[in-house]
Amino acid sequence: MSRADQMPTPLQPAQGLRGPVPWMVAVMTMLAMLALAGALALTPAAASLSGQIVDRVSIQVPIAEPLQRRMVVRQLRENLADAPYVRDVRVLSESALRAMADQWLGDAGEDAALTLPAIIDVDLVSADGYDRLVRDVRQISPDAQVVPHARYLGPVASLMRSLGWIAAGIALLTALVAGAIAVLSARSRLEGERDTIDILHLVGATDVQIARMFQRQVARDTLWGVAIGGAIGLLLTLLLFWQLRGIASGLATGGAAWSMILLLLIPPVILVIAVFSARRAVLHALGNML
Amino acid sequence: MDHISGAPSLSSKDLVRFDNVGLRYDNSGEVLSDISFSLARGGFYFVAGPSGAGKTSLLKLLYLAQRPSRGKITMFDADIGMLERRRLPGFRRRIGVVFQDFRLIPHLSAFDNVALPLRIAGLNESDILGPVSEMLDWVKLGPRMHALPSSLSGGEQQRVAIARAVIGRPLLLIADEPTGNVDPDMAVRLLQLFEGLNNSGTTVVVATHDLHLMNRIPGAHLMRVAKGRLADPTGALRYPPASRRASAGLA
Repeated sequence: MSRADQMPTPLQPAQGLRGPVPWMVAVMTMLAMLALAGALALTPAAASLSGQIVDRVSIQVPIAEPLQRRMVVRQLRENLADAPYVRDVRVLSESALRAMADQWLGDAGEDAALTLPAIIDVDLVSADGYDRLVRDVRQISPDAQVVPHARYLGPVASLMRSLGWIAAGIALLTALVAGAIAVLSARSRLEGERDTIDILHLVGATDVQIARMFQRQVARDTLWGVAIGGAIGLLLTLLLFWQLRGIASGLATGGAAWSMILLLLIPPVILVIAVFSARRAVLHALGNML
Repeated sequence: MDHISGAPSLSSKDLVRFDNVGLRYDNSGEVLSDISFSLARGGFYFVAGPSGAGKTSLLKLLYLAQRPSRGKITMFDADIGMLERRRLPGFRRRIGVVFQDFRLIPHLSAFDNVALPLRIAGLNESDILGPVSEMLDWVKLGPRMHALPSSLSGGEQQRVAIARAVIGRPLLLIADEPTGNVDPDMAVRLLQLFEGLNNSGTTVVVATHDLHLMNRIPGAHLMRVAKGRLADPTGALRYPPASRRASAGLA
């Protein structure tokens, strides 16, 4: 930094918190942090869900006669437990099935005449074992249905992934909007300082020297904005994750440190975007003057 | 007093040379036409003429606030029309300008306004304090060095503007009606300052209506501007220079 950069600025003093720029930047910073926090929470949650469902299938045995149904279920369980492509086999108890049916049917679920299928959950060693499982199940019970969990929960995981990317995009766009606010502020200030700029040019100031003066003012305003917005954003994010800690564990798992670093990077990134965007805008405008 | 006459011949003693210079703003007609003259290093020049004649436009060309629309300006041995924009600040630092409307920066003190060219040039604060204080003392504003322009009278602001223009010891000093807002005593002092700078080698150009002021500098040259053209001492408009007549088939 040259000595000319340390002189009392010939530009009008920055308004600081009395002006609108720090507050607009604060709002943008806070929104960017919340959006990024959403992205950071949704992405591992979607990955975790995908990991859990990709190798899991349910076998439904829709046999009305209870004795025959239990026999088929036992045979399936014994055969599958020994199969090399199966990691785990669990048969849902009839009481658990009744309880599930009650949630949908109310008292009608208690009707003994209502036949419920038996359900067997199977964890495969890998998704490659699916075809062999279907073949083996069909040999024992041709009416049994093999339902991969990914068929139902896959779209949910995919939606969570998409929402995560959308949230990350919103975070990026919000950061860029904060930069645009700084550019508009610098341009507006530039118009108001035309006389001073003329004087500075005539006493021999270079465009870079003048741009640095604007850059410092934009940096000061933006610094206030990112400090306030960053503090509120961080507080809200921690509060939300504390409330959702049982549901969304993205930040509470191994990626927590990285997530927190990424979140804390938002304010300085916005500051850098704002300052350099404003500098470019000012230099461009000065280039059109003599 | 000598009067500027005839198209100048190129000389290494010339600090500034105008050849057939014309100036127009946007798409309007020319405010200056066929201006040809040269300023010798160390010369003292007055620019006179009625209001609206083009004096200020001529000065703008001199202090590099405008480039010519046509013709050629040679200054400090460089063709200003061809000069890269990034080189302009270096040229401007060799020029001091006193504006008719002072053009002080309103929220900087008298001291900081005068120190501005030195700070822009990158001088140390320790190298700035002494010269700026001396300069302000000289224009009798030492006790008011921390005052803002808004608290200074018109004459005091003019003196700050003059101090700012001369603090960097410019090679070329341009003043637009510098004594318009000061009392006669201060006008004489300012003229003495200009003369002193001139004696130390600075070329001085002063635009003024004040005939008495012109008469105080016996060796000064006079340039009269009328209707956007440089007039000869008799007041008649200057003929187009020989080169232009030749190209127009008038030679």
